[in-house]
Amino acid sequence: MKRWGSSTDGGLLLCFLFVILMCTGKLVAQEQPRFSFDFVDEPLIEAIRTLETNSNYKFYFADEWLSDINVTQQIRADSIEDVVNILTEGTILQFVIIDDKVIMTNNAPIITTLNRSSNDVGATQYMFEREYESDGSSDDVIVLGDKSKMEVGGQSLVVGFVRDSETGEPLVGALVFESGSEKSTVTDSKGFYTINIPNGKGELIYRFSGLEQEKRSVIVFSDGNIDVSLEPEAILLDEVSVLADADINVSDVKMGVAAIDMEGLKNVPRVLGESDLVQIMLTLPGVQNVGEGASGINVRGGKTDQNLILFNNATVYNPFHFFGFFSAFNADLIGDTELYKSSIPANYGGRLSSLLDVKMKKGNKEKFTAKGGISPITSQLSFETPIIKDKTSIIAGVRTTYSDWVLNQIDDEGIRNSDPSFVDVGANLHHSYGDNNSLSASVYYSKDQFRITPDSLYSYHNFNASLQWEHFVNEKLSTNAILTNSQYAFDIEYNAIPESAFNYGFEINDIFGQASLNYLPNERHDIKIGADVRLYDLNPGFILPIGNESDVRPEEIAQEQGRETAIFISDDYKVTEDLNLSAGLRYSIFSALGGRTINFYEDGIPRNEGTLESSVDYADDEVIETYHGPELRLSARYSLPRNSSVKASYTTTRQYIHSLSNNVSISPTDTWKLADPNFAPQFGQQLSVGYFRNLRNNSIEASIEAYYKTFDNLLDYKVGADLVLNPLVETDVIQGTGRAYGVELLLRKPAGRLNGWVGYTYSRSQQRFDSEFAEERINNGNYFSSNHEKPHDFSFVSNYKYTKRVSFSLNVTYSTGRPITYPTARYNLAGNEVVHFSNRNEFRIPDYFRVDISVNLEGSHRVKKLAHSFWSFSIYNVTARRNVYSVFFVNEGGQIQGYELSVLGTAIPSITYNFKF
Amino acid sequence: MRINFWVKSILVLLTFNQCTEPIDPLTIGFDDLLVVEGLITDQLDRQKVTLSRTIPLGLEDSTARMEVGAAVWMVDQDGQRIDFVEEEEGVYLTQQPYAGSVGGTVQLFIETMNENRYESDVVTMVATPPLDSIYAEFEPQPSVNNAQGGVFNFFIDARNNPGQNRYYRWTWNSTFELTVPHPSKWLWLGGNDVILREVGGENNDLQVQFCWNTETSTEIILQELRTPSTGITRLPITGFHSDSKRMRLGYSLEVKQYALSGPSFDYWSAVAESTQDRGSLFDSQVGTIAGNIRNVNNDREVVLGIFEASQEVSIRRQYDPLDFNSVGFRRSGVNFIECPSVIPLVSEVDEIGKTMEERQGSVILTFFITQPPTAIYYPPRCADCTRYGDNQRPSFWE
Repeated sequence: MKRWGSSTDGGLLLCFLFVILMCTGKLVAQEQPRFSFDFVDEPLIEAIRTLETNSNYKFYFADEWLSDINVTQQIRADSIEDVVNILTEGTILQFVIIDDKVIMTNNAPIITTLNRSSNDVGATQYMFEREYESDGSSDDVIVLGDKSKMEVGGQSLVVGFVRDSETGEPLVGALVFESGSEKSTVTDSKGFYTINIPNGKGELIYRFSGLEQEKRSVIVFSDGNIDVSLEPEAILLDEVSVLADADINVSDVKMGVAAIDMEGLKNVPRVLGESDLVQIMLTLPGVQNVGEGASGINVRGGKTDQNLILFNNATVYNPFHFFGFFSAFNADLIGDTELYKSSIPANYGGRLSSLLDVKMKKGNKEKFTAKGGISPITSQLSFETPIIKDKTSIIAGVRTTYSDWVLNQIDDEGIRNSDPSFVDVGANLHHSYGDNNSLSASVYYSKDQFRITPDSLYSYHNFNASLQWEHFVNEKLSTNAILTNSQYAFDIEYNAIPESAFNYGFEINDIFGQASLNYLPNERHDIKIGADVRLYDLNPGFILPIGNESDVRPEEIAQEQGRETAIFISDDYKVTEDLNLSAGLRYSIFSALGGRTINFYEDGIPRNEGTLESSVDYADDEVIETYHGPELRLSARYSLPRNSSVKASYTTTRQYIHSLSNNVSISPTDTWKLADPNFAPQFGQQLSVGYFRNLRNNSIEASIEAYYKTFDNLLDYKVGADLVLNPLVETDVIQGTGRAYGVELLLRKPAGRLNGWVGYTYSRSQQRFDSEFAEERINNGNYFSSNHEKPHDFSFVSNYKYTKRVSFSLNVTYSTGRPITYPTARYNLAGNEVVHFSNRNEFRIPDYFRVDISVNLEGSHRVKKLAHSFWSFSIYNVTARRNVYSVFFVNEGGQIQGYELSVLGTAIPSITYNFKF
Repeated sequence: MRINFWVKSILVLLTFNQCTEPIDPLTIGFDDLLVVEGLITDQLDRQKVTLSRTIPLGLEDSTARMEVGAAVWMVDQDGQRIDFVEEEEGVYLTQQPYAGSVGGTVQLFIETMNENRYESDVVTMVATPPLDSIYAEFEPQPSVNNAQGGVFNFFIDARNNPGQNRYYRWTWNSTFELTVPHPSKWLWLGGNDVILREVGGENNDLQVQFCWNTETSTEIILQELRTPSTGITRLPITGFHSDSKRMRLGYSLEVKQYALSGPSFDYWSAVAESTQDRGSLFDSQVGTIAGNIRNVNNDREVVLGIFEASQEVSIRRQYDPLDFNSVGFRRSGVNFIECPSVIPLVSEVDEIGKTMEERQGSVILTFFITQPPTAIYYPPRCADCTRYGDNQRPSFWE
C-alpha cells in the first residue's frame, strides 16, 4: 500500500530548512530567473520541500520513491516544469503538473486519459493527456479490452462479480454505476453484473449498503471484465439507510419496494432496548399497525393476514415475540430484507397485500467472527465461521430473554405476572462447489411462552427449515430450486381447576417446493420461469384433558389439507434506455383436500345450525373444491430528464388462506383457515403510479406514489362469534369487499453527516359487508373504515453524525387515531345493564404522536481492532405522551364509565450494548 | 366447558390496568332504540314482554325509559292470537295465564304508538332437562376485622340430560331473612294511639322484626356443553362474602334453567361478552347485538333485545347458617344492620303524638317501659326491618 504524503507535513522542519538555506546565501536575488536554487548533494525530498516553500506548488508523492535520491544541481529556470525535469533527471520518476499541483509517479506507465471529443464522434484523433487521480480513493486505472478493437463512439460491455471482501460472498443487489454516462445496474443473485458503458474514459462506482464504496477508473477500448470486492465500513454506523440505493429509486422498474438495511436498524427507536425490523418498517410510508405493541402490520390498507412473511423462503406464520412488541427475527442473523408493497414478483404468491422477504446472512467464508449484544430484555450471540475455507460456511445465533427485572418495571400487572419469555435460534449453512453451484440449508426456531395464571401456560412456536440450490449454467442461464417446511403451533395448558384441566392447541404445517429458471438472453431481457407447490396440513383446534380428574372430553376439529400450485413467468424488458417493462404472470390453483366433513347450507339464507342441509364426508386427498385464476404482475418505468422517472404498476393477487381473528389486532390465539366451499379465497387488485426524482446528484431521493386497491372475500365475523373449536365456524363468518387508496410521499437523504428521511402518507382503507339479511350486514351494508385506517401518517427519522464515533438520532411519528366502535347507549335486559355500540368504526381514538431520541457511541473505529463495541442510549417517547391504544367502557355500579387505555404511556429509556469480533 | 370464554379471558387478563384514564361517555352521542325482552315459558302464568328504550350513557338517572301504549300480541303454532295488556309502564302481560308447550312455536308482534310495526322470528320452545341439585361451599377467608369470615359459593349439577341440548342459560333469585336490633313493637296510628305489632299474632302483617330480602341475578350465566350427554357438573351460580350478612338467619336460593336454541345462545353470549370487555391489547371486535326482532317496514332499523321460548326448570334450596358450622363458619351476630352507639329518644307516653310529629319520621316508636311510663324511640334503620326487605314470610320459607 502506498503511503501518500505531501510536504505540508512537518511544517516546523521546513521552516528550519528554509532558515538554513537563507543563511547559506545560496538563494539568489529577485531579478534572477523565477526559480533559482543551488543544491549540493541535497536529498531530493528536501529539495522538493524547498521548492514548495518558495513557490505556490504542492508536490504529491510517496516518500519511499524519493529516498536515496540526492540532487546536486544549480537550477535557473522560469517554468516549474523545467525545474522538476532538472530535479528528476536521471531518475525513473515521472510527473504531471495540474494547476499548482505537481504529481509524481514512480516509473508507472504514463497515466493517461482518453478524452472523447463529444462534438465530433467520428473523429479518429484522441489526445492522451497526462493526468493522475489524486484524491486517494481510487486504485490504478484499469484498461479494458483491446485498443485495436475500439469502436469510436461505441459502447462496450463490462461484466464481473461484486463480492464481500471479508466473506468472499457474492453481493446481491449491489449497485454498479458509471458516473460519466450515469448508467447503472445491480448485481444479480450471483453477485454478477453486466453494464454497457461508452468507450473511453470512465469511472465505475460499486456500492453496497454497509460496505465501503469502491471506484474504478477505467479506459474502455472494448468488452472486458472487472471483479470487485467491497470492504466493510470502518464505521458501522455511517448512515441510516433504509431504501435501496439512490439511483435505484429512479431507475428500477419496480415500485413500492423498500430494501431494509439491518445496520440502519441501530438508528431507529427502540422499545425496551430492542432494535426491531417492525419498528423500522412502521416508519415507511404505507406501513401501519393498529397501535403501540400491536402485533401485525397493515400494508397499504391491507389486513394483517395479507402479508407474506418469508424467512429464507419459508413462511413465518407468527413473526412476533412478546405479545407483539418485537419481531421474531434476530437482527444479527438477517441479511437482505425487502418489503414489497406492490410489484410483488411473479415467483411469489399466496398473500394479497405485501411480501416481506427476509433472507438470512451467509456465514463468513474467510474467518471466524462473532457478534453479541445485551439489551434490557434480551441477550443475543451469533457467530459466523468457515467450515471449508472459501467454500462452506455457517452462521448461527441465539437470542433469549435473560431477566425478569425489566418486566417488573412495567406498569402493568397483567404483563408483570405473566412471566413471559422467548427464545429464537437460527442457523444457515452455505456451501459453494465449483464456481457455478451453491447450496444453502437453514433452520429457524422461535418460541414464546407466558403464564395467564400460575396454573396455566400459553406457548407458541415457529419452526422453519429451508433448502436452496442455485446452479449457474452460464452467464445467461441459472437455475434455482427451493424446498421449505414451515410449522406454527400454539398451545394452552390450563390446570387451575383439576376437573377442568385441559390442553388446547392449534397447528399449521406447510411444505413448499419451487423450481425456476432465470434466463438472460441479452442485456434487454431478464426472464424467470418456474413452478411451485405448497401443501398445507392444518389442525384447526384440539382439546385434551390433563390429569385423571379432568372431566374434559378430548375433542378435535378435523384436520384441513390443501394444495396450492402455481406456474409463473416474468420478463424484465428494457425496451429502450428510457422505458423498462416488467411483465409477470402467475397462475395459481388451490385445492381443498379431504378427508374431512364439509357442511353445506341452504342457499340464499344465513348459515346457521338450522339451515344446515347436509354434511358430506370426503376421503383422504379427495378434492373438495378447487379455486384458480391468473395473477398479473405488471410494471413499467419511463425515464425523464433531470434524473427522474415515472412508474406504474398493476398487480393482482390471490390468497387461499384466512386468519380467523375476532380481535382488532393479531392475538396469540388467532388461527388460520384454508379456503373451502364455505370460505372463498381472497382476491386483490392494485393499481399504482409514481413519480421518482433524485436531487443534488443523487444525494436526495424524492418520490410520490399513489395507489388504489380492491379486495374481495375479506372475512369478518358476526358479533359474539365463537371461533374456538367450533365445528360450524362458517356460521359465524361473513365475507365482504374492501378498497384502499392513498398517496405516499418520501424524501430521503441516504448519506452524509445528517441523514434520514421524511415520509407522509394519506390513505384510506374501507370494507363493506352487505347482505339482504341483517345478521350478515355491518353498518347497513355501507363502506366503513378498517380498524387500521389512519388517514394521515407522518414519520421523520434522522441521524446526525457528530463525530466518527458519536451520533444522535431523532425520530418523530404522528398519525391520525385509528377508528373505533364506541357505545352510544345502554339498556336493561334481564336485569343486566347492556351497552349498545355505534356503527362499526364510527369514531376515532385520539391521534398518535411520539418523539424518540438516541445517542450511539462506537467503541472504536479502527478496522484492525480485535473487537468493536457499540453503545446505544435511547429514550422512546421522550414527551411521555399517553398515546391511546384503545378506548373501552365498563359498567361501574350502574354507570357506564369510559377509559382510554395506553400501552406505553411514559418515556422509556434504555441502554443497549453490542459487540463484534 | 366453554373454552372460548376462557380463551378470551386470557386476552382480557393482559389488561393494562394501570395505564388507563377515564373519559366522559356523555360526549359521544346517543342512539334512541327500541328494546324488546320476552321469554315465554311452559309455566301457566301471565307471560311477560317488556318494551323499553335505550338510555344515554353517562346519564346519572338509570331509570329505564319504557315504551308505553303499544299493542302487543303473539301467535302460537295453532294460529291462535294471544293478546298482551300493559300492566305497568312498558310491561305487557298476557290477558290470561298462558303456558307454552315444548316443541310449539310463538311469534311476537308489536305496534307502537307512533305506528311502527315490529315482528319477531318464529321461535320454538326448547325442552329443558331437569336440575339435579344446588349445593353450597364455604371457604374460610379470615380478615383482620373478621377472623371467622369467608366466602359462600353455590353450584348446581344437572347431569341428567335426556334432551341432549347443548346450550343453557340460568337465572337465580335468592331470599334471606334479616332482623333489626331494636324492632318496633308498636305501630303509631296518630295522636297517642298505638297498636301492637305482634310477630305471629293477629297483626303479624304489621311486624317489623323479621323481613325477607330478595335479589335476582344480574349477570348472564351461560354454558355451551361440548358433550351434551355428560351434563353439567359444579357450575358456579352465585356467591357472596360472609360480611354481606346474607347468611345470618337463613338463605334460600332458587335457580331456573332454560335450554336455549343456537341463535338464542349466540345472542346471550354476545350480550355477556359486551358487558365483560375490559380493554386489552387484543380488543374483541364489538358491534350491534342483533336479536330476532325487526321493523316490518324498515329492515334497517336496529331493534335490540330478544323474544324466545323455553321450558323452565327450577330448583330451590334453603340454608340455615348452622349448616356451615362443620366447615368453620360462625355467624358473629344476628343483626342485619348494626346500630352501635345509638341513644334512644324517650318521651312521656302522653307525648307520643307530639314527639312523632316533631320528629317527622326520623324515629319510630319502638317500645314502652312502665316505671315510669315512657315511650322509647329509635331511628327506623334500627327498628324497622321493612327498610331492608319485605315483612311477609315467603310461601317457600321453611
